[in-house]
Parts: sequence; structure tokens; C-alpha cells
Amino acid sequence: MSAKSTDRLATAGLYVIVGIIITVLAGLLGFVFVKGIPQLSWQFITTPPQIFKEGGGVGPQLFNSFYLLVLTLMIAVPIAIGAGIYLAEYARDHWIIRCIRVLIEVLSSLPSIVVGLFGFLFFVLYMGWGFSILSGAFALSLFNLPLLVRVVEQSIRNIPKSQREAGWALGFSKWETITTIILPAALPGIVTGVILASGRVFGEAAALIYTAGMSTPIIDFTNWNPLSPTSPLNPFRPAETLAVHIWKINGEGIMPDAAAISDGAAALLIISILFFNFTSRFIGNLMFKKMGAN
Amino acid sequence: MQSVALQPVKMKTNRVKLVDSPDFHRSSVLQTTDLSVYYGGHCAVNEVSLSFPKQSVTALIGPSGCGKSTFLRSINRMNDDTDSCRTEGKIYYEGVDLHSPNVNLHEIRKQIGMVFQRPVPFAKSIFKNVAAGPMRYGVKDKRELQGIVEENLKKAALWEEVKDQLHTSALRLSGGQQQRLCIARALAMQPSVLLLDEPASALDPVSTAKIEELISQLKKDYTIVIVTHNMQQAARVSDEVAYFYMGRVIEHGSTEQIFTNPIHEQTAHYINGHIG
Repeated sequence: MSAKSTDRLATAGLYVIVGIIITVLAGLLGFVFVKGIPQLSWQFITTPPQIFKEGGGVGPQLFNSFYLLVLTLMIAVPIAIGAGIYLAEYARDHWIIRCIRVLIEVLSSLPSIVVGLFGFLFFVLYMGWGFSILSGAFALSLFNLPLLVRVVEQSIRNIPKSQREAGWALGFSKWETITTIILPAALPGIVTGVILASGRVFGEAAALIYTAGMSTPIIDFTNWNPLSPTSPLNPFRPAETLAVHIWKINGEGIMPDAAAISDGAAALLIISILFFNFTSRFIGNLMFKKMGAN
Repeated sequence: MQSVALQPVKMKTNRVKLVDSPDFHRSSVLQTTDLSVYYGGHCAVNEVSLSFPKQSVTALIGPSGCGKSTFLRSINRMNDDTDSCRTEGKIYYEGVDLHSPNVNLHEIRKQIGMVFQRPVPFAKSIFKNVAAGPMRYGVKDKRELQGIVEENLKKAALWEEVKDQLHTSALRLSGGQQQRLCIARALAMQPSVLLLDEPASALDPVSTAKIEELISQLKKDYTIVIVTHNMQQAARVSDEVAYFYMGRVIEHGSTEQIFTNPIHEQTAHYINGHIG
């Protein structure tokens, strides 16, 4: 076979593979949207679910998903940035560091149900936090840390050494170089990592069943005192997220419109992920521009 | 952006004190005595003793791997951060031994600025690139910073080209402009010595000409050490030339003497393009 026809064949093969991937993805999204979007209404995304009747919503679950995401990121991102800076800038090639890297790899491939059971034993029982948003947030932080650490480390490593030398040549210390030059330049990569992690938080169910729980107490959206038991912000209340809710009503939902609610919640979940994705990219770009241009 | 009248710049400077040391020549601002640099077991710079007179340009020439860049980088102690790199001998800056333990490394690098072979603008605005150093050293006032930025961009012959886009990203500039920006950034630290490591080798001829012109301007105020592979460039911009070979200085003298009447045959060979 001539080089030209090999090339054609390979190109055609690649197009076929890409075509399959796009068809599967578009089919999945289309299926979820076609079945789910007709269920969406303002009432659906704001009211609490009904247990026996039709016409319930997923308002608290939607709020819980976002709140859990915010708490998880507040815990995980600072730790990941610290660990990423350490691994990229300070860690020397030593057997302890190599062990840490292997452990991070192992942790990143840990099944989420195992993380959930660990969270149940440690945060729910041992720490005594019960089924709560806080337990869920810590479990998900644990679940996402390896990914975040690796993404932060990699985006810091991707900044060329010449940038560091340029900082040192201005008399900057190592730490000043990292904070004023390297981190701002690495920001787009870090934002991408945060987006990846958030997708995993939104979609996660297994790790939350045993940590954040499968119920939502009656919460009062006019009460924003985080210490009050009926406040949506109270981190010690159980909190069922959208993904957990979908899993639950498919298994044990006894409302007559369970299938419709599940479809609607699935579409809402995907829309939320897209929404978060675009806003965080937008904010990331804005921050980058702000640092780039005064 | 409107231009701001130049104001006197106040920066926290603690110039290191002039002290008498036995082998330091008063006329030179910078001097090395038997400076050797080792990478592991390999001796990259071998007992180099050079002195750099005030407000002059010294060109370091020699074939690749002859140790001239390593020598340059050891002057502001950039090699400190390289593992397995060891330095022996002395470097005097205004009479102070730069390796003595009570010398502040960051103060040294503030007074001995450096510009690298490839332009390395920070991923920030043009303004912030120049202001990075002064801000680090405590200049907070916005008007004062604007004054510093304007003054140094003018010194680096870049002001006219960028004065209307100070707040756009420095990464959008051309390579030659980026390199002049890096020079402005170094000048904003108010150094007295500038180390230039092949500053024009990655640039096109027009940008190179601008950089060379700039160097001739700058030597009125600064002591400049430049590493270059370009013989014509060395001849055009420098007052003195040191020819490096295998880590040693083979010959050091005035540019005119080195280029017209070199003492060592090897120097003549190199200048005429027979080595390297």
C-alpha cells in the first residue's frame, strides 16, 4: 500500500472513531434533554419533592448540590494548591516523595463507594457529624484531592523555568516568584482542574449516600442563619443532592410521577454542570485578564 | 493613557557599603578573582579573574560551552539554585565579597540586573511587568509607579511603541519588543550593573540593531556585561572583550586591541571564524 492510501485509510479511521464518539455523546445528551426538559418548570426547580403525590419538585436537592460543591471546593482547593506547589516547586526526588506520588495515584483510582464508606466510618460516626453536608463535603474533598493536586502540580510545572529565573533575577524570593509570577500564569490550568472536579462533585452519588445522606429536612429558604437547624446553610443537616435524588427515586420512589421527576432532575443536573462549567471558565478568564491587564 | 510627568523615584535602596578589600580595584565596579564554577565534577569556569570598569560594556565571547554564560550567571549568583553547582573564588561588587554570608542575595540581584537570551515577559500587562520589581520593593503609590514605568520604558526605547497599550498583556508584543520590555523591567530595579546573556540571539536583525543601539545608550549610566556569539555585535557595542575557551579566559583587552591585534593566536583564530 502506498503512503498516500495508508494516510487516507488512517484519516478515514480517525473520522469514524470521532463520529462514533460524537454520536454516542449527542445521543445521550439528546435523550436526557428530550425526556427531561419538558418536565422543567419554575415550580419544579423551586419546590420540595412530594412523597406520595404528583407534582413534587427538586428545589432543595438543587440547592444542596450547589452548596455541597461550594463547601467541597472551599476545603479541597486550598489544600490542592498547597500540595501542588509543594510537589512542583519544593519536593526533591526522594523515595518518600515517590511514595506520596504513588499514594496519590492510588487514591485517585479509589472507587467512590469506598470513599463513601470511609466517610461514613470516619466523618459520620467517628467525628460524630452524622449524615451532614459537612461529612459529604469532606468525603468529596478526599475523593477529588488527588485529581486536583495533580492538575495544580502539572499546571505549575508547565510554566517554563525561565519565568522563575526571571523572577529570581529581579531579586524575588522563591515564594514571591511562586505567588506573583507562577501562580497567576498557572491559573487557567488550575481553573480547568476545578471544573473537572466540580463535574465529579455534581455527578457523584455513591460517596454521598453514606455521608450526606438521602434525606433533606424541611428547610426554610428565608432563614439564612447557618446555625439554625432549618437553615439551608446549616452544614450539619442531612442533604440529598440531585444525583442522589435521581438514584433514590429510581430505586424506591413511590410518587406516581417518579419517572418524569427523574427525567427532569437528570436534565437539570446536566444543565447545572454546563452552567457551572461556563461560569467558572468565564470567571477564570476574567481573573486571568485582570491579573494580565492591571 | 495620558503620560505622567517624571517624578523623582524614591525606592528603598540599601547600597552595600564600600569596604576596602586587598585585591579590589577602585575603578571597577565588579571584579572576579580566581572564580571557578563546577557542575558536579566538571569544571565549567576555571579560575577566571576579570574586572569590569564602571560605565563600560564588556563582551564575553567564545565558542559554545566555553563557560561564558555560566560565568555570567555566577555573578548575580543565579547558579545558587542549581543543584550540584559549586562556586570557588571571589566576586567583588563595589568592594563587597558577594559570597560573604552577610550579603543579602535579593539585594545583590536588585543591584545586578539580568536579561536572558530568550525574552521572558511575565503573563501580565506591560505596565505590571515593569512595575513588578518596584512594587516588590515597596513602591505603592500609583502615580509614582506610573512615573517609574514611563521612565524605564523610555530608557529601553519602548515607550513610543507601547504608551497607548500599557495595560494589555505583554505576551502580545513582538519578540524584540518583549526583550526591550525585559530590559526596562531590569532597569526599573535601579541596578548599577546589567548582565545580558545573548540578549539579541533570538531576535531579527532590526530588533537586534535596536537592542545594540540601546546598549550603547545605557552604558552612560550602567556597567554592562554581555555574552554574545556575534563577533560583529561584540565589535560594535563593547569597550572591552574577554575571550573564553574551555572555561578559561584566554585573552582580555580593549575591543580595538582584541579585534585588530590579538596577542594569542587562538583568539585570532576564533575572531576570524576558525574555531567554534
